[in-house]
Amino acid sequence: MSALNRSGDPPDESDCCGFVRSRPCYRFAYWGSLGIAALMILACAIGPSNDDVSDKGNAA
Amino acid sequence: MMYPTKEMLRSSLPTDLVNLLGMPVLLISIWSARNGRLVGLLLWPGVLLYLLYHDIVFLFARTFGVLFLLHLVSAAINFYAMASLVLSMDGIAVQQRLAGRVAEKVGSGVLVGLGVLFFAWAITVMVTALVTRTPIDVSELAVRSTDALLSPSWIIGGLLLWRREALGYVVGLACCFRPACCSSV
Repeated sequence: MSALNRSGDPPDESDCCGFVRSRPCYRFAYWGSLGIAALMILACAIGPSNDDVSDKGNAA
Repeated sequence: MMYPTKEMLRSSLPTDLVNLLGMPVLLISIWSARNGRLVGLLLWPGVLLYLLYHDIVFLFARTFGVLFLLHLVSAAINFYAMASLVLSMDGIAVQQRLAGRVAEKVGSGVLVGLGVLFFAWAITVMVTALVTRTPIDVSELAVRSTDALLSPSWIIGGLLLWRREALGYVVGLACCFRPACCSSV
């Protein structure tokens, strides 16, 4: 059974059947998570640079 | 060969392993949540916490560079996305759905136990190094410092779940994700 939507709107799948009460926060988390996924791909694509290969211990 | 030098293997392998596990689980949990599955919604902040953990380890261990900047931005987005997600959830509705259907005491016991263990381990390693004046490897120090920073969140999550608070049900599964992965990466 789906939880009641506190805002009075009928619950739908995009707000996880009423378990989400703040859509702006949820949207920020959604787009932020997709941004993180994009950054992860970018990090793999860049790979280690010369600066990144040596860690702080080696650099010191 | 995927990693032509030992240095590249050492520096790239942890990030690649994290991405290999974290990326699919993150996308699957988002997809599940968007399709109305509560387990996806509850797992989602856990994956973000897992990725935040590795971002912080990276920031502690590395010198400034392009990847450092990338992980810094990622850590900032991660933290705010995780906080927004937890704040966006209707804790009472989650509590009503899960109360009595999940093993709260077992879950909270595991969380508190592992949280205390990791925190004590991190502090012991650092205090021992200070007392014996033995230098700690930078990577080791980065991991232990991050453990000391984030393992209290497992303890707090476990205690909230033990008391059957609404927030405990929201963060319980999320807190379990990182300890469950600690042996894999």
